[in-house]
Amino acid sequence: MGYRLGVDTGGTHTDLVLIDDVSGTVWVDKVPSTPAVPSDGVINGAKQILGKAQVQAESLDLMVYGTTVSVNRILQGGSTRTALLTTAGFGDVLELARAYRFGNIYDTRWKPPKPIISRDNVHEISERVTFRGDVVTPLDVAQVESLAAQLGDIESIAVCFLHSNQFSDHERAVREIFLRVRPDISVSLSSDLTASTGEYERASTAAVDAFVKPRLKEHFEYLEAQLREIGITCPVYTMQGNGGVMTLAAAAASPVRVMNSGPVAGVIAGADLCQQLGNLTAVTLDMGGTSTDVAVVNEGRPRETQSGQLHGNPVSQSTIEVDPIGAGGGSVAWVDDGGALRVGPHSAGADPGPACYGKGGTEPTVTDAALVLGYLSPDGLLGGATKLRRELASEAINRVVAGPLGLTEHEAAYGIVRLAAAASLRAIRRMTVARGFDPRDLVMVSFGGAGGLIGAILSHELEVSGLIIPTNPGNVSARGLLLTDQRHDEMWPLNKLVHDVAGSDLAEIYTSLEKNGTAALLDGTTGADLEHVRFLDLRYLGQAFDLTIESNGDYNPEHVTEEFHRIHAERYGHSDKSNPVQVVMARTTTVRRTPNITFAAATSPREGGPVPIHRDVYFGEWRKTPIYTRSELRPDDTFEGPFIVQEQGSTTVGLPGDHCKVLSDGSLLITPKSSPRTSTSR
Amino acid sequence: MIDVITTEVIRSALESLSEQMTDTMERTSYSVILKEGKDCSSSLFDATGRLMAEGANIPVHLNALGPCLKAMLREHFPIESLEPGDVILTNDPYVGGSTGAHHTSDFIVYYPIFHNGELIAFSTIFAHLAGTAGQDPEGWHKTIFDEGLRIPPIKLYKRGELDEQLFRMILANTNSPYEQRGDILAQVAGARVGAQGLLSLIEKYGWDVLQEAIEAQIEYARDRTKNQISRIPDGRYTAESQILEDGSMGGPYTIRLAIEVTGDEVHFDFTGTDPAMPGPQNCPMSATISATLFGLLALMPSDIPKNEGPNSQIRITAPEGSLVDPRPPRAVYQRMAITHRIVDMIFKALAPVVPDAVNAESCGLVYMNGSAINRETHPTGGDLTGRHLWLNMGPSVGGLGASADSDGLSAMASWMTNVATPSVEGMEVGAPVLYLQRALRPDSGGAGKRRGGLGTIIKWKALGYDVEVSHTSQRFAVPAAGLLGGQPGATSRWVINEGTDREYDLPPAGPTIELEYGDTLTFYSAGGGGYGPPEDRPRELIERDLKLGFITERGLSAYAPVENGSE
Repeated sequence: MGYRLGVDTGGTHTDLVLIDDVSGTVWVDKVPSTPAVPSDGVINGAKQILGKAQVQAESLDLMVYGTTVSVNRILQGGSTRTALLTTAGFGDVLELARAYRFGNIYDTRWKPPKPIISRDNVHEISERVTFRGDVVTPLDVAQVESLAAQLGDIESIAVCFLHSNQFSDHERAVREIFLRVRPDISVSLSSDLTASTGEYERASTAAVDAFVKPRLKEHFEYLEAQLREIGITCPVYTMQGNGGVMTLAAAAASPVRVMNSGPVAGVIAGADLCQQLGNLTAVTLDMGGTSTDVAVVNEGRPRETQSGQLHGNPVSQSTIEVDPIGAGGGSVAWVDDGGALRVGPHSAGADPGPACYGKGGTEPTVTDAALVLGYLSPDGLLGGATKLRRELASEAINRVVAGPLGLTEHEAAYGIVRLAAAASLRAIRRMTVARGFDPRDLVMVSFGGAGGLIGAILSHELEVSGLIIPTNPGNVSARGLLLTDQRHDEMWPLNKLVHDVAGSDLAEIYTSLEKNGTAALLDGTTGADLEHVRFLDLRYLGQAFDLTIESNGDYNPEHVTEEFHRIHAERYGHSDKSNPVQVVMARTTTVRRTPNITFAAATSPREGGPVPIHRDVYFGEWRKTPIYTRSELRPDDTFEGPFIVQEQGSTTVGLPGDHCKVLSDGSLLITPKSSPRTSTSR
Repeated sequence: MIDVITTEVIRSALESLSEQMTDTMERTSYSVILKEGKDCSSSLFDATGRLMAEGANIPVHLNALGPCLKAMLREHFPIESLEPGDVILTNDPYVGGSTGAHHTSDFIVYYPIFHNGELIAFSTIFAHLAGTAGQDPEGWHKTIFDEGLRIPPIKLYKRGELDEQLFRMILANTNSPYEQRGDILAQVAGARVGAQGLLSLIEKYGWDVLQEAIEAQIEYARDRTKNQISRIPDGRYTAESQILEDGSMGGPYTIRLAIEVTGDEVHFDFTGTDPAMPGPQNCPMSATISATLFGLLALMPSDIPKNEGPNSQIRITAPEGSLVDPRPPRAVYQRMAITHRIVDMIFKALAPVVPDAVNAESCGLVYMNGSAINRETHPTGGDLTGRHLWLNMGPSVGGLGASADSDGLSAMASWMTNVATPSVEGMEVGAPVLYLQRALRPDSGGAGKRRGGLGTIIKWKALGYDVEVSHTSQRFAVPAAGLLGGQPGATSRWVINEGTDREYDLPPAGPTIELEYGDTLTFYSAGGGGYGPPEDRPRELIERDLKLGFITERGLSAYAPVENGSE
């Protein structure tokens, strides 16, 4: 093996990770993103990191590119000429949505998101099929043909007919007609994208797909050409929402599969770390400047869900479950009209950024508070490249918070940090409890530029059993891109009671799903290296949520039922053996494994223990606190809190009473020495 | 004195706890209405029944449990009669007058929390349990006895022991006992999470600190509410509204409201409201309180904490035995008809003094439900001879009223409700019915500078036998009015077999009707009222509406009054 390159394009920065498969050496780098021509940032970054590592572009085996930003930009930019075809009578499927106000219920000014395809571009087609597959109205082929001819400059269409998730003949016939009459128009069929029931969610999924497809295809083709120009000729993959990777060409054909992939890469890296540390069950926290993403990793495996959304539009896809929770290092502190201190949801973003950046920001942020408290070094974040200006942070905190509330500067700053933690706490509790996990049974893996800053406060409040901070926390997402397998998912709806499913039928369904999976990943190989896993989605008849079990042997309704009762009890605390169990969906996952990587910790010899410098840091009182440099730490080093560990792009804060141990891969494991103290101790 | 930061941290923890209770219940419950409709809410009260924190999903649940808790402590279970492990259940609207459950489908669980042997708080969950209000929940009931089993506050658990006999008796009175058993146990599980969570907060902060923080939050919410009320000029503002205004089912019935603002306090006085009707559109006092609080809080910043604070600035009086505070044996199942009206009346009464904060009138209540004998399409291949209930057909949406700065929302439930509409695909699997149309209703939004939201058109065909359908809609004879020059929305309409020689219209409400196999029902839901004169509407918005088909050439005339027959 040779080298792998991961490129994660974010809103402001593009993160890069280069790995030498043989030695395990890791290079990380960061360049500004280039929103106008996104591929420029990728090319700049690739050239820079390859140059620093002195690696030839030709010796790359694999490149993985994170594309969330491109998808979001296309969706928000809004220039694709798209149309929607529906069953006659149901053209308003996107306008009607679920008729649910999902914002603050007391806010009478709340507005739903605007449909992706506007009402004047919706065409009702004469056709109708029932949920049992009876054709009430045959597809009006002539109508579709004449519509296709009249669609003018439309570039892309979405098609969603009622019950097409089970009976897709009419949708597929529409595609055939367009291939014949208007091959220039790209076609997204709802039945190709998801097998789930619910016409609104399927129509929305198809609409998003249709809207993004033409632009994403152009972007990928341009990027591949540019990469070839600088000598990168290895396969280029992109991340899917389900945590696997697929080729750029496959992604361009089915964009919904790559949506929301950005935060997923971080979860994959967190899950990988959990696997290496013994299949831990953990909550991962990816805290950047403007947002924080939270996920649960169950025994080393990320959790999947069958639904997601993009800018308020449902997208039904198998996705790694990850929740954005708002607050980040740039979250702004303010005092409301009732005299209460608030943090967020407004963020200073990257521009102007926190007051201490000196780029014109005047509102106090979490980063400003961390600086005033001594958590951050005034020498700056990116290895000293950006100086932080304490006097500006101090001025903002005094003016906006300390003055109006009659607090001292450091009390106000401490309050901002604690409230930022409280907001995240609430979201993390919600995320874990709603999924049946007790935070006290979990460890927390915290990363991202600001992940080490409040990770310790959060871990104390949540009473998790330990806090892990990986090396290079700011580049974890890019690293996650390189750890993922190639993957393709297929599914088929059953909606039958367990005992009404015939084993032979099911085996046939699985075989045909696996054939599709193999075709999707064949990519010029024999397919001998592909693995298939079979799943069943189950529920008690009448429930609305499914639980998934693996179903790899012969189908045995008794075993399936028993297994379902067991996991239901495990997950929800109760099961009822008298209830009928329903098989909702058969699913397969086809995977081509990516070879594992063992990340090497720094091992160069060091004389004696780590030697900290000291500065005063505020933890409810000022404490003379040791400051360690991460690159000087070695596996098995231990030290006691309070402490601070600094490295390029990130800072980790340990509270008084914490105990820190450096693990073999260089990660920090922080545990409370005694039982958690109350946060009211002052 | 507790510091502001700790107060905020504890507030966040308590609100988080209410959310966890609701989440726990949702995850473990069985009914679609709970899991997809999220028709449940959780709250934490202190031992005297004061609201500490609330995780409401639906506006009508706003402080829905406080009055019932106070009455229960007064009349059923004094504090000293409660022991650790007791769990109290009720669904009775007539607790303490009519301050109990909003209707018999609303099951309330009270979980007393003990600390050092002393009862200090209650963890409570309120959930809509489908199938608990008799065979025809949305039918035209004459008395509370038509609305299923009535459970006054009883101990479902005594010292941690489930009373299986009592539970069996309750479940035997529901439509699908296995679902309801799961739902009620999920509800208890959620309430238990609240109790355990509060105790661990006490362990962390100490009960003294926690109480201080709660007092500070209540005071904070009260201060902000006072501030907001003070901005409304002192005075007496009145509104009057009629339900069943077309005369059907003994109507019209009149609701009268006077809002008296004095400094930082408001008195909502329903004196003069008609006596309760011999039908289901009566509103228990508990629901009247929720609607009134919502109507007022909707005028204020939406982030004021929902705790006891705002309540102390508000006084509500209503004549005993009236539409807004009925007594047994009056039926109450369609109380939402009145709650929607109360909100519209508050907006209308205060529009002259706070025009930027209010909305024009909205579509109000829509119910549709049915059952049929299904010989063809039972989804699980089960019993093809039994009566198949169409649960939650859910077209309970129409147009909402416009406001000073925005058009009204189209195809949305009125303010007090917020339950997601099921998919056509899901409903066809669940009931012997074939949908022919579900669409926006063009030209139904009241014209105005800001247009009222559009209503919808729903059309389906019955594929079952001996079909029975119960239905209700408002804004039938008198449309949702516009505000400050805005025009009214379109009225609602029910048509059977539209476009055939067997076509006929239904009244807006009334007894359950019967249909034949193959009959169609078309429902046009009402549009919302417009805001401000139509001639002030920006040209580009009118053109956009035309392009998107929200208005047609016919609807355009409302915006361009023809002068002197020319143009």
